[in-house]
Amino acid sequence: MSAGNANDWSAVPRLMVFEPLIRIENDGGTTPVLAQRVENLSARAMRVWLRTDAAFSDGSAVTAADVARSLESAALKVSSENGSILIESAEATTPVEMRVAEAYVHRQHGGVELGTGPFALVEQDDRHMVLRNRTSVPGHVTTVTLNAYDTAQEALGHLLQGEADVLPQINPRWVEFLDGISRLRIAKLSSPLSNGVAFNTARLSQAERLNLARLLRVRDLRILAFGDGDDCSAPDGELKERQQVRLPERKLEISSFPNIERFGLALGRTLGEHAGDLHIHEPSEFGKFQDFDLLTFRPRASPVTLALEQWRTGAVLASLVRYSNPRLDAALNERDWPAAQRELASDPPFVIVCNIVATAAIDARIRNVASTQFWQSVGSWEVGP
Amino acid sequence: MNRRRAAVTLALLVVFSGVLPITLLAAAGLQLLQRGGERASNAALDAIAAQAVARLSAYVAQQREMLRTLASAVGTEPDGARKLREASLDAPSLGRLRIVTKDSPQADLPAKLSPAQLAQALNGGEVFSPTYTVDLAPAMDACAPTGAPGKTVCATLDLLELQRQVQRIRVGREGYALAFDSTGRLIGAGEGALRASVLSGKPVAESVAAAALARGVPAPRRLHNAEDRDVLAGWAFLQEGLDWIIAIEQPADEALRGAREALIVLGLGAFATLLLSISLGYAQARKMLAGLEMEERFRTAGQLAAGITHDLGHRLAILKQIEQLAATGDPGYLPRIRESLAAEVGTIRRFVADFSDLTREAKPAEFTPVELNAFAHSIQENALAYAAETGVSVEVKSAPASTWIRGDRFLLERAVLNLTRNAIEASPRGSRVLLSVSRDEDLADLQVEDQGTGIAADRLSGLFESFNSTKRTGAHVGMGLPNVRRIVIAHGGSVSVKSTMGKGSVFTITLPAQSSSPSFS
Repeated sequence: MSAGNANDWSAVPRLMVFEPLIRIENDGGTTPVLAQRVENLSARAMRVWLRTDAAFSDGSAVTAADVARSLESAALKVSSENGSILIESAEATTPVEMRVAEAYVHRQHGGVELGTGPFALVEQDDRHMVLRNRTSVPGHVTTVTLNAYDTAQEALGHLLQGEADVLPQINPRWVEFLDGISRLRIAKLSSPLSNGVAFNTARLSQAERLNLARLLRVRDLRILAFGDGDDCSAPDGELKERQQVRLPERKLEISSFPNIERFGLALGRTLGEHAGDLHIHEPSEFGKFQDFDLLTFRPRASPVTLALEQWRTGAVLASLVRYSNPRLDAALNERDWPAAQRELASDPPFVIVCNIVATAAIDARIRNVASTQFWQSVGSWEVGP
Repeated sequence: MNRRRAAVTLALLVVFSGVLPITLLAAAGLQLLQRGGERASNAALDAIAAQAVARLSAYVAQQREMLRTLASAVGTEPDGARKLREASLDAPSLGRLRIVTKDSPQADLPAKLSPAQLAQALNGGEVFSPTYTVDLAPAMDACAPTGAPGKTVCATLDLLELQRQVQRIRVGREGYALAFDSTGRLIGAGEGALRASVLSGKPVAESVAAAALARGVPAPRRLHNAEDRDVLAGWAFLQEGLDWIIAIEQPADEALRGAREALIVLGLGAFATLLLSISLGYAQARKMLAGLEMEERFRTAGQLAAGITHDLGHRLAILKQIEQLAATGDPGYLPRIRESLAAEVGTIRRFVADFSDLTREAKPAEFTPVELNAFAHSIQENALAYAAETGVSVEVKSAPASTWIRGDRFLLERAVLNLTRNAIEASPRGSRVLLSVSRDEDLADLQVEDQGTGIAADRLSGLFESFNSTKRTGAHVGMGLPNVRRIVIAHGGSVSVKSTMGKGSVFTITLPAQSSSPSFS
């Protein structure tokens, strides 16, 4: 495991062993973590003051040199100025605080990367890691063993046999499979993703998209597509009743993917006589087709800064639906999130139908599990009898 | 034997004559009850399995009926494909509905149907695949005829509901259901830990039995499950279109808890009843024995009073004659009066001595060692004067070695002197009375043998009972021999008599012998 960016399973313990300078909250604001104070200079530069009591797991203090080395490995430019640290990003599309929030501060020592998080790495191999809580509190988790399996089903099998206490991110359909097992309980966790419908701006005018956004932000579509359970929660501004809106005279072509085919079908029913054919594409075809009016997809919904950045001119999603809005780009550059949100609302490239709620299976004895910052909260989990 | 011992003896008699048969009967009854309980539990589990199979069967039939209806209704319509997609939105359990023709792309063909089945479907037949697992849930490929040749509607039935139903079956607190396919693979489990085998496909303890049941081999009704628990099982085979085997299991200790509790209650009830009857019997026996003893005391007192009245009356009559003789004032009668008075005083003294013997109790704690050979010679010395008066000799035949016993020397002397005096009185002048001592293992015998007329056989059995003496003259109220027996029994021994008419009698006192000479300190 290293503090660097990775998409493998070691991303989980990274959240427990390492900490960034700042954390991005869902509303787009920043919360200092290892930083004592933060000053945003522009979309590409920020200044931070390091916390004086920040220390690695071996007790040594975190220095500006540690921060510089850590952030430079994340392709950020770092320089010291009068006790503060100036951080600059050369990347055009991602604000600097996003990059800083994903850069974990670490120090190489004896072949091991030390972190400042609540846990320290004790041992690891290709399939497992052992982390120990740096502060021992009676009744709390002291040691965490993370095991990696080839498939999610294999992991579930080990959980059922009592060989594991937590299985995060399980398929909601599997909840049925855990029914009646008193040893386990289901926890609902917040997810940054949502289910939404993207509009092809090359084929739909702004007025048509506004009408579609009104029509599709309706409770019936959410329930038809995702059921009445709590796997996908209602978004802000959901309408209880279907709205009478003016839609294009032509049939609207719908594209979807196999895992959300039902969403595509439900979308077609909501459109009624305006619905055209439903095209199911393999995930590997994402970005390679543009002959659609509406596309069911899973956009990021939080934190708001990242959610907004998806629609900046030139970003992947914006390119897919051929969306370009200079006023939005300007608002993002100014970090004026409310203005950017207003711009997206008035010239919408998509509509969110519901916010995805992640499902985890957890040993029923474990309490105090946070629905957000799940892995960061492991140190404060309490274990009952 | 005192009242308490008699009551205990009676109670023990009840225990051994009543408890043993009752215990055996109860054990047999309990065994029968247990077997009956197990049979009833198995029957109940079978019934639950049959109900489960009926529900699952109805669900599958309903899904297939929906598919048939949809296929015939929209399969041949121009926008049939769209309508089918719409239908799958309302009937998610039918999975992805699509129209299949011989030109359909491979992705649209049901993966689990064989080419022959597909051909049959395109020719207007209804076909379905064995169940398989998709995303942890059982599924089944099925095609139904549209009515148009070369065109069929296929679906991948989502049988999650079946799994859900199996998982939700609960029997008692710990009983659950298992579902297997015909190969014995677990496809649904009510017990959480077993669901890992649903994922992995690894056989469980019941897999072999389930596969055998699919081939017609009866499944076991009692087995050890994967958790090594003894369970009772009911089985049912869902053959029509699904080939599922349903097992309903319940841990034997829970399934038989009712029968076991009934057994315990019955057993405790029987035991309590028995205990009550023994207690009541014991109390009643003690009460009856107390009554009998009181009655016996009154009878004894009556007999005693009769004997005393008779003997003292006789003595009073003699004393009256002596008084009349003295009243004559004739000095010539004085020697006769003196002799008569002396004789009567002696008689009354012995009379009092006999009663005095009755008042002395033997106390084992105060027993002392007594050597029987010396003891016999001592008796001989005491009896010589009386024997000489009657012209009878008294002889002793000692044992070859010292023969020690423990006892109350005074009481033993009274007992043996009584037998010796009786022997002398029964002996004709010129005959002899023989006191002989012998030892056999742990027992020592002291015999008193006379050469008298003997005792009639019909009197021998009651000889040691109170007031049974035939000598109703002098100081013989019939307390002598009963007292002898009382003394000997108090020493842990016994007394017996053998007699031959015209030849004489032998009284034998048998006492526990001491293993070695006592040491004195």
